[in-house]
Amino acid sequence: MCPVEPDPVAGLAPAWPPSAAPAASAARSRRRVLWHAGLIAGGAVLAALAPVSTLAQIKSGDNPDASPNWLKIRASLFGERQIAAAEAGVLQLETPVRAEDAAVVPVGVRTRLPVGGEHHLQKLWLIIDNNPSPVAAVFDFTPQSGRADLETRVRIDEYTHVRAVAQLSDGRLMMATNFVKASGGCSAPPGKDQAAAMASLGRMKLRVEGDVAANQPVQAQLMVSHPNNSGLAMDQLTRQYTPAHYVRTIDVRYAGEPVLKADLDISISENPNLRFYFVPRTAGELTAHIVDSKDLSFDGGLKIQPAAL
Amino acid sequence: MAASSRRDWLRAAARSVLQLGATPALLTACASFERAGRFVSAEGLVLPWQRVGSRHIVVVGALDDPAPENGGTSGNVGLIIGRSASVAVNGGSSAAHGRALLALARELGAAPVRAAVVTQPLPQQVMGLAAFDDAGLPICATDGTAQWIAARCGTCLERLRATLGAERMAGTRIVVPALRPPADGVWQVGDLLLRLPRVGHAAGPDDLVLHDAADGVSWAGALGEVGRLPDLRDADPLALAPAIEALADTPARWVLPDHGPPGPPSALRGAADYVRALEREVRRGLDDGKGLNELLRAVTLPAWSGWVGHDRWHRRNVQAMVLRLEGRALDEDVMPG
Repeated sequence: MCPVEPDPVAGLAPAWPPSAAPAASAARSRRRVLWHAGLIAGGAVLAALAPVSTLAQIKSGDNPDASPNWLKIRASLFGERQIAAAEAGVLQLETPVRAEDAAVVPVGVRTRLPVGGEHHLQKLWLIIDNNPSPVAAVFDFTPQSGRADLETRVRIDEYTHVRAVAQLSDGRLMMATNFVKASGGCSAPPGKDQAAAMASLGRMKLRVEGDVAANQPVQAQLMVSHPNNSGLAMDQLTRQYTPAHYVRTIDVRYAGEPVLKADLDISISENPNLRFYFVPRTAGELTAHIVDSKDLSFDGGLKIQPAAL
Repeated sequence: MAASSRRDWLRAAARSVLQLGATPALLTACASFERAGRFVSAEGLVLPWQRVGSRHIVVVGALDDPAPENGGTSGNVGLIIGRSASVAVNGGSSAAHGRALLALARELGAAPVRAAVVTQPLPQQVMGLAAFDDAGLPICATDGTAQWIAARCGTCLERLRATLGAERMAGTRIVVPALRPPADGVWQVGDLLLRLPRVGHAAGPDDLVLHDAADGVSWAGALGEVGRLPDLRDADPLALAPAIEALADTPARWVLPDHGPPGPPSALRGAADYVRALEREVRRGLDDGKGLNELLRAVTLPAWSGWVGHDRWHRRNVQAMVLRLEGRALDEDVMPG
């Protein structure tokens, strides 16, 4: 049976992951949705009661609409709302068919959807059906984003459908789905030992790609040193699970204006890495404010002087 | 240790060992083994072996990973046979493989095997250690290798069991080496005087190589891959090429790689060239602003397409190099390219 989601508002710590503190920020309601969907689907996976036909479907990737975990996540996040299949080029998900490393699977989202004006892309969910916590990330875009393309890296625990669900400003939903073959990503041992990881915790690097022209979308990359412990990896020496400790939110701004906000979860790989766009209109600083699941916060910035067109 | 100082140190260590006690008496006292042979163990494993130098026996295993088709005998293991003692180099990919190596020593009439040495915590080097442990033999490895075996090889064993089957893997268990290389790197086992310089994190988490000065033979472990792509999964991709190149510059007559035939040290250079080319192409891609997905598609290195593993772990190597360069950028506050 699925555990019932604890109410963070009431000050009760979630049963899993063990170190997750109650959210005290404005992201609380979003977080609740993440937990809700995660626990429902996680319970479904752990129940191991799936009939043979379900398992066969998971392994083959056939019929993404019938994925049992997806049906639960869909009901939790979107209720009865219609979700259209994204047209090619309008919303596209870029993933490997078979991951090289299940703990670091590159995921790209490419869209032709605007981030401002009428019918713009407001929010994007990145969902990994068969992960213990399936809602890997929720991104909020603003007109300062310029383009809604992004890339990040995720853990994948077993063969699964990966989905990008976009919500437009008029409330419409559209979805792109890929099937990815990978397993063991959420419980994989970290690439860096914990002492070294904690020594560089929160160190970050922001960079921009190419020339920066005023009022044009510029691609940027944010790299953060953080173990992003999932809570599912066992230290074979101590036989203890390393408690969950992961980046929970990333708030990117340019010249003080919001560019992109990301609500993240344990599915994001060690050393979170995010590539995104922003539009520099004047000279300013690109900043990132990061809060993790222990309510530790980290800040970084990069001064930008765009060239006039 | 910085790459350049690691390289210099490795070279110096190799030179000193090859000048160390290479007495004619030792060289002439070697057993009169055949040059090559084929041994079939009681459990049906076929071990094609050849003599290198006067007292090194290398069992040349498959270039590919352990698989039912190769009986799980991937990679090279072997023996160094002295007058009063022998040493096994790496344990094989199953307890049966380790037992077969010990049986081969008896078959050859070698002096008793007194110890085993493990160069890296790779399946073909570690999974057969139960045979040596059961025989009461000490097993020597670096701290880093021993810790890695304790922490991670359990999962590897489960996977190998699934690949090779319970019957082939019978008796196989994880054995953590208890013996450490001497601090000065000189290891005497009976009349065998060997040098075990510690390389650090290069091919594996804490590499060891083995030099036999008297015979002009070096065991490269996973720093030696000939005809097979290095697997960077557990490597430090930025330290690997300098470490291989340092070994390729040693004045040994023979180097025994982890995979591939015995040859001169220069035979190791192909793998170093691959890692250098990989680093160069990944840096260029990062400088051009390419993301991980794009780099995985773009960095193909077709010159190595004929090497075993190119179709399976080259892309993983690209990813390992990207992550290493990004990690370095975070640690050292430099740009990742």
